[in-house]
Amino acid sequence: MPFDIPQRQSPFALVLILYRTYLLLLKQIWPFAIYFIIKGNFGSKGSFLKVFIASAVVIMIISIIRYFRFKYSVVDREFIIEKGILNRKKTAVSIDKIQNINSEQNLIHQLFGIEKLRIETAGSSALEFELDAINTSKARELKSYLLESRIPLINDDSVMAPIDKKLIFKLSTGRLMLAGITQNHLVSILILFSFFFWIYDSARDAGINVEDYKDNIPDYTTQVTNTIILLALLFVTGILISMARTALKYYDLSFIEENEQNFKVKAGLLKRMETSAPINKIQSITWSYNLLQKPFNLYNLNIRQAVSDLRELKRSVQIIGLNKCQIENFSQELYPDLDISELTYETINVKYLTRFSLYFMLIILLGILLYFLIDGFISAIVLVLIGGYGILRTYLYYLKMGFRLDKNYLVLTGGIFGYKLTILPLYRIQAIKLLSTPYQRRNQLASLEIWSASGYVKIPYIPTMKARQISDYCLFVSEISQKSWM
Amino acid sequence: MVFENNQHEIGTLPSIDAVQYERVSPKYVRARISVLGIFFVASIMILTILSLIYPNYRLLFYLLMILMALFGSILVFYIFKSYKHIGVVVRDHDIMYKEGLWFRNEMVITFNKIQHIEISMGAIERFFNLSSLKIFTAGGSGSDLEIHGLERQNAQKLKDFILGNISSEEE
Repeated sequence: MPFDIPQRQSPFALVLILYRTYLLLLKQIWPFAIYFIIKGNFGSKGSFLKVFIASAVVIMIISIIRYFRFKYSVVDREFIIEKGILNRKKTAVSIDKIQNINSEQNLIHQLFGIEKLRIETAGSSALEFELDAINTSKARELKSYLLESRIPLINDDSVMAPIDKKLIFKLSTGRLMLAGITQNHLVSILILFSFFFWIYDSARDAGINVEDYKDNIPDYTTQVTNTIILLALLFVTGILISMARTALKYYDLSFIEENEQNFKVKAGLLKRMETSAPINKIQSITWSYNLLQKPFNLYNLNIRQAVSDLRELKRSVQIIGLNKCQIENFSQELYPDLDISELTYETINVKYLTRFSLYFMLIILLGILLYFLIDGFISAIVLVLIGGYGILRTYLYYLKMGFRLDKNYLVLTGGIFGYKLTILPLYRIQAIKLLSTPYQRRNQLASLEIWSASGYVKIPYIPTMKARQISDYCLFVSEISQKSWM
Repeated sequence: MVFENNQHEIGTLPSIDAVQYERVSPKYVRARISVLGIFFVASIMILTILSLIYPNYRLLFYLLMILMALFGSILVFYIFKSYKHIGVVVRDHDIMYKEGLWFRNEMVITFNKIQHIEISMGAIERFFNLSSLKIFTAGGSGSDLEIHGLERQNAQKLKDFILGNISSEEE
């Protein structure tokens, strides 16, 4: 038994803990610190400095105690963590319940040759453990020890010999750059813009008269050129930021089939992430592309796993830069009894389009009214733009939304400016909601929400009869299924 | 294991249409109105005291009281009306629940995906001898189900029935 004696983490964990708590302390006190440094005195007889040093020392002592009190071990098929400074706390979980062990290495981890392990269990999030810093070799040992000594789940159709690791996909640098360029940059551009205006506003609040500087610029054309240059600069910076983020996150991405039961994704430059996706935990897959990615044959793949809390979904496995062929091969491998290329899709009711267009039409009308009643030109323009954009979105959503109930799968297409497709095996379904508003009921329509352990998919505005048939069939397949679903 | 996959005519499948919903205990209406009443009386008292302390703003406080009474009576009307639309059905393999007067929501949870079940009782519910049953599924709270206003012994029976079904399906 290699792990039956309680062990501490790597001593570098102490460095990490200290680093993190000091960062926290610094975040709390930096305004005071700057104030005192600028003023040049540190309170009477340097009292501020004393308080600061004292709290730093206290934090250091607490961190050291915390480090020495934190121990992990594996005893009697249970993974045990002991921690706590004043009251000792011991948490144990059976290793058969461990579902996933993911590792993470940021820059500091990589420098010291350590790894952060996150141990995921079925059920509540209170039983999820994080080991901050373990030597890479020991981490691998612990990982394989825990995962291999589990009693394998009884899975009738999976008695197959383990195969060697197979590399499904590796993202080349060229395609990484391409995927970075074709990202949706709007978010980072908007953040940059709002940041810029925030600075502009704060500068004005702080008494710096921004208008004063404008007077130095002689003529109108120079002002306009300057504004355009500024906007272009913000625009380009925004694009560069989101490109860099993509490149850092997905650098050297490789998608590996570990064995018949498990996929694994490794990626990242500064922060190296290693995420595994056991096949029986994969609830649904979604692939998508946006307007820019379409001509380059760039697909994003999102593998959704069972989570104990929907907020964890952002940790779901995301792979970018695939091409159509690779996507289809993967889907074929994961869902062999589904032939995605031969499917035709049903559409939602046209009342979805007319109803929501009406709402946005009202917003446009309000804008026009505002213009004539109170001469609010800017607000009128904004309202008309919002209304117009809303109608466009509704129209595109209506056009692209489609669903197909296959024998064992529910397949949904959608997207607004881009395209996306979701495959949900019916036996993963755990709940179905049928929602209706008075308007929908007058027209014998309803919306359907289909829930699995990784959230829901929605089919809006279909005939109530149809919704009930889909619901009946999905429940039937899910209820007779004996397969393990998470 | 031989993988069987028989075809089923959609028309012959068990349908949701055919079920008869059972209402929750009629005492649930009284319990909800009591909660509302306690809240209402407490706020009226606070407003009265405030109007005594600040006589200058008396009119404002009276206006607030009238608004509260209006809003309260709409809520009472809603509680009475919506009671008829709350319903529960327990079947062999799933539990169904519906609610909502204008925006209706029918939900089905399959027994084989239920994680655990909880029975809870608030102070008012205890007074009326009522319980709430909460059914938890995996993947966050979105597909969890909370049924209020069950008779205490019925809630326990329901819980035992579902748990019994879960364990029998696992065997």
